[in-house]
Amino acid sequence: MSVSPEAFDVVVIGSGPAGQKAAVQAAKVGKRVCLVERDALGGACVHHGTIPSKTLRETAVCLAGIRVRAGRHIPVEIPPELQLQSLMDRKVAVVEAHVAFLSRQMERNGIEQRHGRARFLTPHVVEIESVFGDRALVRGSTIIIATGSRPRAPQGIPIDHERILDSDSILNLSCLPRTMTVLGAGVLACESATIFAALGVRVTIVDKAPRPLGFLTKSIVDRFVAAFERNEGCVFVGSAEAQSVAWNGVDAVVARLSNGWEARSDVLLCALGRVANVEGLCLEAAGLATNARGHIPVDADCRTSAPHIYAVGDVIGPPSLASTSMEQGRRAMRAALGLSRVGAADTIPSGIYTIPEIATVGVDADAAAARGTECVIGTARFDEIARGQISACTDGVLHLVVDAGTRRVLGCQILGEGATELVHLAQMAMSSGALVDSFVDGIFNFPTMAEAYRVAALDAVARLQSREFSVR
Amino acid sequence: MPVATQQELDTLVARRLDEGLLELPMLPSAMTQTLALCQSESVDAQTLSAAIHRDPTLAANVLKAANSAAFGLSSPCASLQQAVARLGLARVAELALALCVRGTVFSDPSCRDALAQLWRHAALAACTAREIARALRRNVETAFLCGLLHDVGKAVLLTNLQRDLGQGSVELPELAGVLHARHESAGARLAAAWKLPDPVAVAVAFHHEPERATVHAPFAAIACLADLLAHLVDAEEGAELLADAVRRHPAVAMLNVYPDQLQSLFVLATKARAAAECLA
Repeated sequence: MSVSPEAFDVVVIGSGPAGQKAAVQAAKVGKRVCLVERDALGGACVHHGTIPSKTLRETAVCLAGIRVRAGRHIPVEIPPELQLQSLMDRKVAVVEAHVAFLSRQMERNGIEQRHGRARFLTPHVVEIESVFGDRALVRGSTIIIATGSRPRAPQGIPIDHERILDSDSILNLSCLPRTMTVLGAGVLACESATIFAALGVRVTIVDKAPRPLGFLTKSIVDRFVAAFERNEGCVFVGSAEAQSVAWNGVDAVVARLSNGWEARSDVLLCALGRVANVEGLCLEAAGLATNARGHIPVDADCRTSAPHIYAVGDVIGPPSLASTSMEQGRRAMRAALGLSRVGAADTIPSGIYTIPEIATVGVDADAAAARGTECVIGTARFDEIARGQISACTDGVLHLVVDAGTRRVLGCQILGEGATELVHLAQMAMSSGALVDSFVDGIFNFPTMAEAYRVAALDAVARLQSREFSVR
Repeated sequence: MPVATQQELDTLVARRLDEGLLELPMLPSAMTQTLALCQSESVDAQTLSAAIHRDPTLAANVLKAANSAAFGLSSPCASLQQAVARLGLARVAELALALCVRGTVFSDPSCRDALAQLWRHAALAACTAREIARALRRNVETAFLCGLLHDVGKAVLLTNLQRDLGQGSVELPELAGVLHARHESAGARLAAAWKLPDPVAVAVAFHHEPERATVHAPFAAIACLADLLAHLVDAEEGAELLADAVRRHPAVAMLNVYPDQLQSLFVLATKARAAAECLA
């Protein structure tokens, strides 16, 4: 006798940032929601990636900060035998607190949690296999796929998670290596590279592109590379690929590069992108297929080719940022439930947790020009800001992109400590349609890094004035 | 001396544990040095070789193991430095650690056979734990130590009991009950005395109930699963029952190992036998 599936209004597969927000959004309007997670609540973001790496980053930034501010008097040396995990002492507490918070949130909203692997049997029916092999069926009027991604393991790179690691296993190293080669120069590669560089590891980044983080404004990237290479023994090698990677069996991982160089290091981090977690979902049973890049194609509301199935987060491809994924989860659910759209996709900020941090919102000068919008760029260097000098955070810059006609803020790009927090001021200015003049007229606390907005706005206003003069 | 009853054995062990009378082997200095070197990336062949040479018996045993068929070297190594050059620093350090533990805890001649049996299981669990960690992207070196030392309490208890009861008075099967019941506590004492790394100490103390570990629980669960799989690989009878127990064990849920992945780990454990043999 076949068992009839348990019926839910919404079945969400995956409990990372995208899945959580979709589930909560549906529960808030009284829908019966089932949240399926094959691993631990919170997904890779909480347990393997974002939160553990940011915990290590916080320690690295603190150590680097003490070195710069008081290093002449208080020696900050990391003993060579120090366990890497000791630098992440707070990780367990941070992860536990976050999972406890998520769990309470799910319970408060009456969301039913199921621990197991999901696969489609039909477009509406999903089978959940528990870790012990038991099977249960659920039926969803709406189904959200939020299964995330995992590090890509390219052919020819023998990742052993011992010497040749990926962006998850790098955080499980016993102790700090002396040297590290990083293959790839995307967000995760650059974040890891700069964290280890700040901890004193000599890092070589190798990428086939001529510069890292190719989607960012060139001037920001140039400053980022300069800051990275100021760490002792750290270098970016562009326009080169690893042709072979092997552990020499004794003491080094050797990467032979296409430019003829040989990169030897204690460990190698392979950070050449991520792949969507779609295996085992049996997408074909739901009438779905992935695109050439292995992602699930969706429309602006994250709806797949099946009208009642939505896909959100890393599984639909870039930008693969937690903030964007959350917004996609909420947006998809609102669309599925026929609720009004909220927020604007062009004011979602991007935060890159390198050292120094990078954050952007809206457009840069090139993107504005491509849209046919005339704009001016107001710039503030952190070494011109009193708080930058006080905090020894002089290694930064803020660009404010302003529409030359309407004087509205169109975008902002920031490099420097605190960038991921600072960027929200520009985001609010953009969403409220504020003019650049509001940053000149507004009074900010002194000394703060937010003053950079005022300096950049003054620069932009001066450029607007000189344009007006030249037009006359 | 008449054969002791289970009750008497338990009383003997409880007295040693409760009254602080458990005799613990000293941590050999070669092991302290090798452990420190394992946790440092600045180690080189010369430093490691010098550390191992502090104990000439250990150095000879490491060289003998490195030259065993399990490593498949075409010609034998004549020196430790050569072994390092051919097997890698990490493997030689691992060999040295394992053999150090064997020489210190698993070598009492009065209960040689029983200890040898425990050692074979420890070696297989160590190599299995390493492969589980690799598959789950956890730290493989730490997992190896967790597997190697998970049952170290049994060896400690066995040696102590032998001293209480006299040579050859009891066999391992008769002691199984009391060793099983008390070995986590005894192992925890040794881990504390030797100041083992925290994840290893947790694995030693909680490998039968990893869900009770409040920190480093994944390493307790890896030691638990390695222990179960090593028993399963060696099981001559009751393999079905054991396999079923493994499939439903809380450690499997803690590590999120699904049935097909568990099957792959069992295959890895079978393959780990060859690596374990060179330690045995």
